[in-house]
Amino acid sequence: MKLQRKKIVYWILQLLFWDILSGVMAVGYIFSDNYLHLENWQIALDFVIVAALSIFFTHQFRRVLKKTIEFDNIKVLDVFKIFGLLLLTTILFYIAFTIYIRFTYTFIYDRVDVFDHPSQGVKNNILFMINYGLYFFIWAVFYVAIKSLMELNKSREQRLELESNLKESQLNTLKGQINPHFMFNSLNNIRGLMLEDVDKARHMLTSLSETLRYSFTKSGVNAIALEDELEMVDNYVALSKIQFENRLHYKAFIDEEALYVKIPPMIVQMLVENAIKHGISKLKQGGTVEVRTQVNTEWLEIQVFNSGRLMTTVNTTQVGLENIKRRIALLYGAKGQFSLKELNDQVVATIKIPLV
Amino acid sequence: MKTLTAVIVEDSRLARNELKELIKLHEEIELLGEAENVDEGFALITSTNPDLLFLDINMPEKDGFELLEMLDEVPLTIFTTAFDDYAIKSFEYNAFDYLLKPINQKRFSKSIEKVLESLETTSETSKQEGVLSLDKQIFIKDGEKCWLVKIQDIALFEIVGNYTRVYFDKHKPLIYKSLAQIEEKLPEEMFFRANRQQIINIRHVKKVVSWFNGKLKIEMSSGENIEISRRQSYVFKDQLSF
Repeated sequence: MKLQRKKIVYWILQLLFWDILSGVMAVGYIFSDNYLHLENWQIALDFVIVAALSIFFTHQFRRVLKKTIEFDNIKVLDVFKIFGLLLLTTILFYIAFTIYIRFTYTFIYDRVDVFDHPSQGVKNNILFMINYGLYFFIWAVFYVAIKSLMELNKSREQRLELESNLKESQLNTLKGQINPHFMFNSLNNIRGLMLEDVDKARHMLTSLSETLRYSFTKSGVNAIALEDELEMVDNYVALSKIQFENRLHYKAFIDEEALYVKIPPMIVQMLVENAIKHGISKLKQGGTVEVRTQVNTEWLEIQVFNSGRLMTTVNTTQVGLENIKRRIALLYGAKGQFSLKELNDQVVATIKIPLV
Repeated sequence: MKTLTAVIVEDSRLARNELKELIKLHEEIELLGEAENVDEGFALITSTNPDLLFLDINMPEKDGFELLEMLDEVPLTIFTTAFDDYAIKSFEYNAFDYLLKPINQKRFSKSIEKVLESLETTSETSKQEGVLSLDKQIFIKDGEKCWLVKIQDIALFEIVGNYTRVYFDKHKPLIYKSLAQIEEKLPEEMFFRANRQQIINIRHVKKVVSWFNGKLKIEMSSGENIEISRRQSYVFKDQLSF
């Protein structure tokens, strides 16, 4: 439908442009006392034919142009091509027009005398050609300008669409990846737990299913209340505790106001997961993971502390951290912050999220 | 029924319990002990010398591979892991078996069968050769690649700076031990100190040629040429002329 509309607009503009031009010239001729003494219908026919020929040749010009030039990427060479085509169009138009005039004035109007009229000399013919060359040039400028603008808009739209698609899919892959190691370890531990504490095993199975449900359902969501995220973290920690037992201690100090702040899902969970995986699991005696928040009117800061040292070995891929960094960058741009530091035998991960 | 001695090295207590439950179903397995980290595991293995090791990969401070590197002699090993680790796939040869947690009972039994089979064949060859230590296997890790090699398959050890290059099959990985350290642990009847730089496996010698100054030159079956120092040439001739 859009294409159809563009076509209609093109034809309307074509007819308007050339008809008005011919009309103005016809009126001009009539006002110059009809020096060739033509009948009214002859004047009308001549100028209609001129308009028709103009439309025909510019249309052909456009057809060739469309095939040879990329309108969203016009180069210097294209300008020369356009001028060449313009020249060719003008010459062909002039030839066709001359043939028409010779034919009708000889056989239909029976006015061969007109050819000897001073207004039909070589000089005027050349002027006529130059005039039409100019009209075609103006036409071409308009056409190329409009066409280029349209193409540029189109490619901009496409680019924006592509970018937002990319962002969307990136976010989706970054969100909600539950670590298979964690899942299978948990299942194995629950299996072992069944032999000694059935109640606890049942409880843990619920925690695991909640963790899974959260990662499945919330992966389609861009923001979630910190309160809900922390519930997920509690489940995660409970499951980790059956793996690490008394090697893992967990504390959370959360501001009341922070609980309702919306944050991207799985971010705190991923930080806690990292703290356990790279901190606690590396320590024979284990250690403590702590979550703290700080909130004011402009931003929310979430910090995850863990015992241990910051490992900067080449072996660690840091996929998880890269994930968090990219998510924060995609969602908040420069306003979001993420850092990972070592402080007094503790590793601190900090994220800062702007409040909307 | 032949008994199979085994130890577990795994940091999660519940996971160890799970394994013990599976082991209970196999009367032939005698569990000698369990350890929750690599250092304890190392002590346990060196003191009990088990046939079989159930080994977790992710453990605090040191991982399962590091335990294998610490051991001079590596028992048959079954890795237990929660997920298909890229680490296990980095192995050359299918020298190690692995079980995915939670462990499937049938898979477990199959692995044990395989272990029993390989123990039987090795003890048979041991009888034929009359030397037990030839079946010792050592663990070699060079960068991303890992090998579990029987000592008798190693043709040559060679000094490279502070490290030692080990030649077997078509591989030449480096290990972070000195040649002197290695020499101490090698069975004398099979390995011979050719010169300052090299220790050769006598069974991989293809040809011995008299060189000048009373020295000997040896061509290994893998193609390397080794020159034996003068002093060692006498020892070599002496040893082989009995």
